[in-house]
Amino acid sequence: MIEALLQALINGVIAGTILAVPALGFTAIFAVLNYPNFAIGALATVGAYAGWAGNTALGLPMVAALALAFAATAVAGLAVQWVAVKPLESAGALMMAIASLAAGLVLENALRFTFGNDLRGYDLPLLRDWRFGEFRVGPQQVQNFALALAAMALLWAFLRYSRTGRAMRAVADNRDLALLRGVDPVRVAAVTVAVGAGLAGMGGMLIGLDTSVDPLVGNRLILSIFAAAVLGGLGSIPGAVAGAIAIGVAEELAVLAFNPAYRLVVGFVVILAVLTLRPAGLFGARAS
Amino acid sequence: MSLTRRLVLGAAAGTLAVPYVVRAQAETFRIGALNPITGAGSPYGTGMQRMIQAAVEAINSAGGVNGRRIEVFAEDTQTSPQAAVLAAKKLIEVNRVRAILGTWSSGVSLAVIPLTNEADILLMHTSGAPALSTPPANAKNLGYRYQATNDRFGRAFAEIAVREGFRRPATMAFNNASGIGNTDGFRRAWAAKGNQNGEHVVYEPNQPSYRAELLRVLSTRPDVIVMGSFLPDTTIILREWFQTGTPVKWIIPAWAANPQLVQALGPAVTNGIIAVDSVSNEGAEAFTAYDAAYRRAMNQPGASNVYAAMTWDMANTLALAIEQAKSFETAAINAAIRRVANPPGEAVSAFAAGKAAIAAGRKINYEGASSVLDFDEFGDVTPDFGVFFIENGQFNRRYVVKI
Repeated sequence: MIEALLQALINGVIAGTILAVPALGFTAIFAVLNYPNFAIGALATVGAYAGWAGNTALGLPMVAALALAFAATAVAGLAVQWVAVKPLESAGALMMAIASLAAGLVLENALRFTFGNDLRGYDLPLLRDWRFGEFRVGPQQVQNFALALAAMALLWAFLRYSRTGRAMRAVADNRDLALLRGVDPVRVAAVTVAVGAGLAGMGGMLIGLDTSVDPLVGNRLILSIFAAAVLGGLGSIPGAVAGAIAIGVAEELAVLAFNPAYRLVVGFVVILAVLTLRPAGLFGARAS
Repeated sequence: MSLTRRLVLGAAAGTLAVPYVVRAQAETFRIGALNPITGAGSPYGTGMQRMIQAAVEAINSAGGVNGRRIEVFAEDTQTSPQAAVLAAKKLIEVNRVRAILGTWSSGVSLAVIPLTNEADILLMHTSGAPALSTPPANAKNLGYRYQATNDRFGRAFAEIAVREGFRRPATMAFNNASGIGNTDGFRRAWAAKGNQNGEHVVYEPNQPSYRAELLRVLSTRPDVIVMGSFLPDTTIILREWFQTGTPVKWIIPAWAANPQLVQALGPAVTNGIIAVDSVSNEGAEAFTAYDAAYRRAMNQPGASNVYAAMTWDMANTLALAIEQAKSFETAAINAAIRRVANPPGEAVSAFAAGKAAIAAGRKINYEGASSVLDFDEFGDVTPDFGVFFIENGQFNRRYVVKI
């Protein structure tokens, strides 16, 4: 039993760390633009396909394919923002959320139209798990875990040290004050959407690496992403990471305790509990 | 010549003057071909639709049914219940079809059958869920299943497990009527043989990973895992299983263990998997005719699409039943279906021969391309099952199981 518990914990931390990448994208967009971008699931799917195409058609190695996934999804994210969301800005956050949801459906079906419903696999050898006594962990899991950590480290450095990153944080903290200090809001919004969407694309590709690439990759993630962001506190960067790891672990542990059919309930229960008991989430101060 | 009002009026009057009989002949018996052209059923759907059209062509060139031609309206279910319901509504309300043929996947058929029941028309489908046999789904007995039920699939799995010498089977099922039907059928049949059932996990669809569910099953050290699953989840589960390096065998229904699975995972992962499918009635004359039609339409052997053989049989049994009923009323046609398909009677394998026999007053028994096609009290058939071993990416049929 203890072994099973620890194994679930290991799997949960790894799954959660990977989940944190798209959750960061989601929460960053929320922090700066003040609306939940539900196209994030479809954007993750775009990233999975872009990375897959880069890997199989262009023969790119993983890190280069991941960069391509980021770039392609950043472009797609900007398109969603400018075409669907921005025209509805004056109508409020709810309208923007609905517009993003609709744009996500369009993106998903555009992918389905282009690539079909077939499952695609990366051009990678399937490797056996490494075993440590009773525990096992897959080389692919470890690689994805490392790539997710690297992506987060890059994001952290970008937000901490670059001028644009600091401007993004400034807008997230206090929009009016930032504007007074001469921050260009259009540029900050564009960079945030590009980075946020790019992160979602990287997350989609990392998930696709471990499973398969099909038009529903992002759809499978969206509830967990949202639950992670809500748990961590919408708009909080460290919160998204903590929330994602907590969701990852909770989903794995749930299978030990309950019938696996109820695993998906975890996300809903977490959202419900957080919104009832602590609407600001673990780290959030802004959400109300 | 310009179209004047006088000309139009004249033409209309002329049409009315045409004798009533001629206009009656132009009236058709309308049926819907509602198939999975896109989505998870897309490898089969186009062939299924073409075979309805090909069978109807043969029926019409043999003089049609009760003097009327059959007219086919084709739609796509997208293998999605929502899309299927919209398409079925259109077929029923706009095209006014009198029967719907060829729905695939239980979710789709379970969604469509309330509509066909409501409209008092027949639904002939290829889905496995046991719930489609009984009320409420089949409350009016207007549903006919040309595929084996999932329960029968499960019984076939149990026969195979015995034959292959497995002793500790575990089961994993996708949480829907079809998936659970497969594993429940297996577990019942396995227990009935005096064996002990192993771990049973029902999993939710659309998860990015099934590692936790899989490890839970593998921790009980089964020698075979029997699946009630679909392609996307099976792909992920097998990938994660291979990574664990745990030796175990798999018995999987062929709609999940198909060439697409091999394509996604490669021959190394899929080696030794046992894929089970109902097999067509390959020795039969009806199959020869179907096979020729399928090759003409799809440029592939008829045996590559068991569901297309089923839709071929749907059009033929429906047409024969209409001939037998000498009526276009649903109740009369419904009453005639078992009469033309089940023994006793003169075995016929094509519409033209059956029509002639019926006209001569003889009782017929249509022997189909998909199976001998004898419907039980629930409207279900019992085909045989082919047992395919995946070896180096190839599907090799080792033997056939009868239940």
